[in-house]
Amino acid sequence: MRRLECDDDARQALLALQAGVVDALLAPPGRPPSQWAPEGLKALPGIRGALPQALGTYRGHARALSQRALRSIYPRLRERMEAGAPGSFAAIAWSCWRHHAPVQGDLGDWGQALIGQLAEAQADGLPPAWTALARLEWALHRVERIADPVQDLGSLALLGRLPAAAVRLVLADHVDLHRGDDAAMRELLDLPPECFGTGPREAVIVWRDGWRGQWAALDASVLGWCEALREGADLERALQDAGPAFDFSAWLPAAVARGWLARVETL
Amino acid sequence: MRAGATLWPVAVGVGWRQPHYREVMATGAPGIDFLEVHTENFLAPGGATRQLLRDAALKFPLSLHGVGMSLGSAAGVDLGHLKRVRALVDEVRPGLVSEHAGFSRVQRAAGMAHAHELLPVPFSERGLALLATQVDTAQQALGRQILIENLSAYVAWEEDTIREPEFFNRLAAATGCGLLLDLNNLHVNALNRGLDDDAAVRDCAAWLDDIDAGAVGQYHLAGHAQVEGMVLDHHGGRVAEATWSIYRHALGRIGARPTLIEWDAEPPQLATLGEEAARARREQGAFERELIAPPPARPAPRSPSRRRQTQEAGHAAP
Repeated sequence: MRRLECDDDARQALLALQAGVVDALLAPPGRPPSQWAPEGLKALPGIRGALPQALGTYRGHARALSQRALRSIYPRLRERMEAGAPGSFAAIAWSCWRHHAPVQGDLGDWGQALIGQLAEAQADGLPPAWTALARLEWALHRVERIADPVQDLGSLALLGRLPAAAVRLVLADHVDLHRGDDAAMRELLDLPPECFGTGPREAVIVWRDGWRGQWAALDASVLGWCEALREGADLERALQDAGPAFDFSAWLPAAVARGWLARVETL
Repeated sequence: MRAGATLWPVAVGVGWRQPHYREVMATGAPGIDFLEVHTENFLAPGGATRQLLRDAALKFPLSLHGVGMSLGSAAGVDLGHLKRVRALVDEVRPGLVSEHAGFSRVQRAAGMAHAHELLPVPFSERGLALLATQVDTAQQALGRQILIENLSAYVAWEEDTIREPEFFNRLAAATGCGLLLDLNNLHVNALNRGLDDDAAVRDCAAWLDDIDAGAVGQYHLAGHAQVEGMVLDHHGGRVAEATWSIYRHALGRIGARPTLIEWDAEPPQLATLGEEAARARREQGAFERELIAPPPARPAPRSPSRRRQTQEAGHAAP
């Protein structure tokens, strides 16, 4: 077999040409993408509209892909946006693609940049709750793609053997807490159908339940408890932080069944 | 256990897409010999889709068809992506692993970008050298041979100086990769070069006549659509009659190879895909057995020391 090598000069030249093609596909609206195309690129000769039509076809595909990718990640956000202004979700998806193009071959990794884009657009009057909702939906999406979590249920035996100050409960990595500190987030606290704790809703917990991302609201005591665990507090300290309203005997079986608890550790 | 199963040359499979996930797992895929999936749809390290593919690998022979490796990218191959593909390959042990002869990942002034398009590399000496270097990198990272698919493309390069079949023959000879011949892509390109249907079929037949039969490892068949001023490779309909005639030519000239029916846009009922698969089988059945025999033996792969040299010469990006 004859070995082929691409020297640095050739690679650099191709690098510029290839970047030029993608620049043309991501060109700002209102200007024909062919204006951005690198020299040496041509349409196949039977395409009636020549290079503008050829590049426009790729661009149309990318536009459709941007919507498809984000629609599956942000279904609730899309519903809200489309209810107010049909076509607005598609427009922001395409804008997100153009300004924050994917960098990886796995399109499931792309789309988080929409959150920042929504936040920036708040200055133009976009509701802050949309940004908060996008943050929650991204968390739900992310958690469904992580490596399948493993619980060490055998370690629960430590709870009966050691004093509370000598052990700590470790929350699973996939558990994500979203505090309802601002008005935007507070608007969303009623969305999850379920709430843990009997007090007013103060936060949303996102986690992986089986294959699905799930969310639930938390009251202040459960939130305090979860945050204490997240900070690595021992059991005694975490119970103090949670306060008297926290019901450990109700939380523990739920945390085991739902996969919130990764393991119990000795200190 | 079907994982790792070798595909017979006369195997006919379908592209397994989301609308058919549940049906195929529940009732099987009668008349379909293997399932091909887009690798990138299953790269997430965990979750339901990954588990689905693990389960499917226990029941069906699989083929992994990548669309995101960007082997023709001058910005280099994403080694992180390769690592994830390797993990998936090790897990589901597909009969075939394939990718495209194109680029998608580029280094722009604003940073790295992956266009998620299959864009053509120039059919030139430097285009061939770039692609060959990175096909080598990919095969070493995956620890196996991959098949490289010819693209349908709406654009081309002024510097295209090597005829496409020669380009692929030389790529296969230089790297030991196999070739995945997408006959619909050939057909679409011929039509978009302005040929009428008859001339396009003749052009594709001549293309196939020039290809090294020993390097060919798979065929793809799909539908296309005539739209205003061009032909779209939309994978959204039945295989065109003219594409079937190109398939017949391939069977007669090259022989039978695992054949895939692709239908990505608005996939129909599974039974319709089964009808297309049955048609491919009928086309194979019209040939004498010796004409559709397994491919001829190929030269032995390159020695490990030489492979290492090639890897060192590569410019794979992190």
